Amino acid sequence: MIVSIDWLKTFVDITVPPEELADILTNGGLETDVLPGRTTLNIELTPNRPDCTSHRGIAREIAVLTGGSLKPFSVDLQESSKELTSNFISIENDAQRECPRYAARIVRNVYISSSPSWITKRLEACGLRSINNIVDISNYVLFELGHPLHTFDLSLIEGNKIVVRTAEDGENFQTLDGEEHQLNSDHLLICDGIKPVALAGIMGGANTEVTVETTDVLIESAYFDPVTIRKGAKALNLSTEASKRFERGTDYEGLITALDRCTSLIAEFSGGEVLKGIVDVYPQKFPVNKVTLRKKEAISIIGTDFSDSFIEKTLNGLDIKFSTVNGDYICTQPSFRPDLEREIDIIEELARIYGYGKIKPDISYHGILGNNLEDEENPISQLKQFFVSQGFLEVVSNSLLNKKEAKVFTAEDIVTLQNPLSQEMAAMRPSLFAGLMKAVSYNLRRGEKDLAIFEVGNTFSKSISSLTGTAEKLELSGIICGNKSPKEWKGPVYEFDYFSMKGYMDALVLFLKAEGTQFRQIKDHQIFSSGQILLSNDGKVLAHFGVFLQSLLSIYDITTAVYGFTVNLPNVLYWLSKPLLFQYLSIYPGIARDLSFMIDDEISVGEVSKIINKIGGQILKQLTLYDLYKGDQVEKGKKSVTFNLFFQDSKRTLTDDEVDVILKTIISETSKELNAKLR
Amino acid sequence: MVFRLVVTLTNKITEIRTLFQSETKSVFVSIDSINSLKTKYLGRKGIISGLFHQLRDVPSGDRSITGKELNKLKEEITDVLQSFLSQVSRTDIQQHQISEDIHLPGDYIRVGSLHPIEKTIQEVKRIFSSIGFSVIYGPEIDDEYHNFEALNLPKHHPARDMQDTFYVSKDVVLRTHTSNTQIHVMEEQEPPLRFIIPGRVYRNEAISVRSYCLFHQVEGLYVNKQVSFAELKGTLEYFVRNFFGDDVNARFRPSFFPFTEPSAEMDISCTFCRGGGCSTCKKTGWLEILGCGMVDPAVFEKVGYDPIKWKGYAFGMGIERLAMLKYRIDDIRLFFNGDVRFLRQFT
Repeated sequence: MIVSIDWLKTFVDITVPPEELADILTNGGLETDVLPGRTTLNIELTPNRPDCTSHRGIAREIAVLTGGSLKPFSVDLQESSKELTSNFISIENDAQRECPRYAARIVRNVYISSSPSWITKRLEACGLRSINNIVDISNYVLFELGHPLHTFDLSLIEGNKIVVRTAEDGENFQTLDGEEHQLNSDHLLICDGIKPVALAGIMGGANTEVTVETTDVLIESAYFDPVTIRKGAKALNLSTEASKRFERGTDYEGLITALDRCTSLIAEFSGGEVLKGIVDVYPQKFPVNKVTLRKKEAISIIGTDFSDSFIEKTLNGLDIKFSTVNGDYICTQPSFRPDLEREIDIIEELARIYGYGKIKPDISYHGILGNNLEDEENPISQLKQFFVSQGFLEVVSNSLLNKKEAKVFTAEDIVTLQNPLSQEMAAMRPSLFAGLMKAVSYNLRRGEKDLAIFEVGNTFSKSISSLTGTAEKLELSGIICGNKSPKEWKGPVYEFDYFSMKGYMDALVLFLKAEGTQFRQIKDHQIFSSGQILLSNDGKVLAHFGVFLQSLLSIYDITTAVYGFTVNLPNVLYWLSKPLLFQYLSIYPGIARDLSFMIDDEISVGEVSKIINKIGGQILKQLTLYDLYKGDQVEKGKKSVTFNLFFQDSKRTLTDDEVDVILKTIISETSKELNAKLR
Repeated sequence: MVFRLVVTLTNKITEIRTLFQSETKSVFVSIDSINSLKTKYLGRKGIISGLFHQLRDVPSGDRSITGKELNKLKEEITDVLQSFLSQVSRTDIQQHQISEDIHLPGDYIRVGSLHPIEKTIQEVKRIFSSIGFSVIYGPEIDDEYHNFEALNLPKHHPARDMQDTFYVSKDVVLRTHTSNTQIHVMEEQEPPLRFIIPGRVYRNEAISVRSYCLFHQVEGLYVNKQVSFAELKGTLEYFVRNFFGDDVNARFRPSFFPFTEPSAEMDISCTFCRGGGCSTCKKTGWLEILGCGMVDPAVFEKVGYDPIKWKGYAFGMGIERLAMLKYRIDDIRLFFNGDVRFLRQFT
């Protein structure tokens, strides 16, 4: 809200420069900037302070924050006509809950003209355009006292009455901005004997607007239920100066002062006569709320020793009436402060006016509280660190994506948004690969072709068993593509390939110390053309990886091969949290041997290794394939495989003879099972 | 008999010295030859060890003099072999001399990095862990009750405008803050409590240099029998000093959040201009970094805590905001597009 410093000065003495005033208000809870020209301030209002939506309200804040005093304000209204207001208008309230109070006055024989310059100047300073004296004055009072008023052309009000009722579903109404609105039963209407004349608390109607032809004016000052106005305005996507104030809660007692002020200014500057009396329908008065403020409680919660004189001065400054009983303050909640309902609300006022800056920080440490839990993501940090040490860069990507794109990664139902920002962000990611693919594509376009990146985050799917109908899964996925290293002077460039990916997975198994993990081929995968899963010795999937389908890459305009992996965090956490136990180091020397076989090309190396491992048993500490050859030197349809075997016993020195026996068994078994020939 | 032994040992010492000298004179100095000499003379079953063994048979009167002589011989041999060894080492380096230009570049080693958001979260966790806060996580998709109503944000309250929300279904939202997890924890556990909640949150806001449709937050909650606003100040000032450094000042000013009362915003002196006034702090010298306050009794009532018995404070900060200030990043979108030129800077 924009306020004029000059206007504020009508209510409180201001001696400090604008910048200092802005600081005072900011430190008091109203975030304030000085606007260019240094005659106006922009105040960012929080939704709990309807009282500050006016110059009088801001002035009260300035007074209490600076120790000054608010100048008294009263309206001296002359009811110049002999006629009674009630002879011209009656109020019929059919919506007591939505409109607890409705008051009105009439000014007759007004002369519509432009406003005096001091009014237009002040309105313009606050960003309002001048229309005519009547409309300007109601706006002026709105900005002066914070209560929205509405003026009707009385001659257009039919049946001499005002009816307050809720709208019917589908009812149409044209507001004075010319817009036609379709209403529902959440809307509240002000009607005359025949037709709706205003959308209560939001905007008046075009059919009863004050124009140059208007001679008699009906002025409305009412209290509307905040939730009703909020719902109504939201439904029409309409927010006005009036609705903003009503939805925050206006002053149900002060609305008469606002009505009188408006009436008196209209009479003064339009030459009209004010009819006698107010029509005021207020059958059920708002209850007076008494709040007990305990000094001890205030001191304990804020941690500062408030004095009685400070408390009294502050309550007085905020126009909170109080009495003291046994040292407690029995406060009456002001009708203009809907936010001061409870003791804690008044305690906040004390702290706010005292100044948060003056409260001395307390750094007491209360020890272990008994519920100190270990950070369950600690093991995940370890895993992140593992991939970082392998040269991977961590990315964080948008978890919202296009629905069609999301479906590429999963056969399951995806989670979608009802009100997305755009179709490109209408679904929740079912896989981290979507974001990683976008990152690959983004980087490729910028000439960054050699990538090793990973992300940790939640992925989402539908779930009937959960309360929200959705399930979240924490995952770690990574991608590699391009070259392992740039061109180097020393030698050839190696591209990342399937076995580079597999190497990272081997390293992961070593890092996890997940002994006995097996690699199994996956067939007909949704996103990989070839891939494997890592199966731990208790049959759980630790991870899966593979090379992406070309059809998937083409969605992202990627033409190079891309390899990806996903680590199944819950299953991996078991291995990460397993207590680490030292393995005994053998002091006895080991024996290393090589074995080279010729096998049929279609026989997997895995099958050979399996036999060797089985026969080698406990003492075969390491089996390494170090040569694989297909080509001119071997028969067509065959391949040569060479292994290095390292044997060691932890309790004794092995003899050549016993190793030879093992090797002979391996040779005869592989020959029998796989038709392998020793080379 | 006794006399003969002493003489024999003394003679032997002289004899061995001569032998060692002649052997080292003729030998070509190499690692292997030095090592074999070392074994021969100084080894566990070597000559010197054998002589020491014989020392036991020398009468006690002469034993100390003979012992000294023997020790002297051992030292001489050790010194000579050591000096040979250092000569050999030098020759060995010459043997491994690099024939290439040593100014050629080294092998390429890939260096990874953690994302600045993760680095910042880890730092925030570290600081709060050091003063006894646990770390807890919660769901990104939650019902409106946990995200709003339980936090004293009723359905038709203007304060809802402060957080534009994505809806998954009628009552299910993408959380707008990690405070939903405060409610989950309080529903499940009895006080006292002290924990922080890092996590991803969503706001239905157009993407720009300054705002993104999602960001990361760390929220904190402390509940105990007596908790004061002064403690909240002390805790957050401790955090700021540790995170930004001792030369950064914090200020607290009143604000409004439905779930805290009193509520405050904490500003820090601008890390760009050191409080002098620049475009980042809009010439105010201050940067807003977090919201906080004393837990509103209405929130305690929702989770079944007695607000007369229990008090608490809560705070929440945006991780991207902290990271942008710490690393002086000027565009929030850089965090989310995976640009490796950006990521490589955070090794």
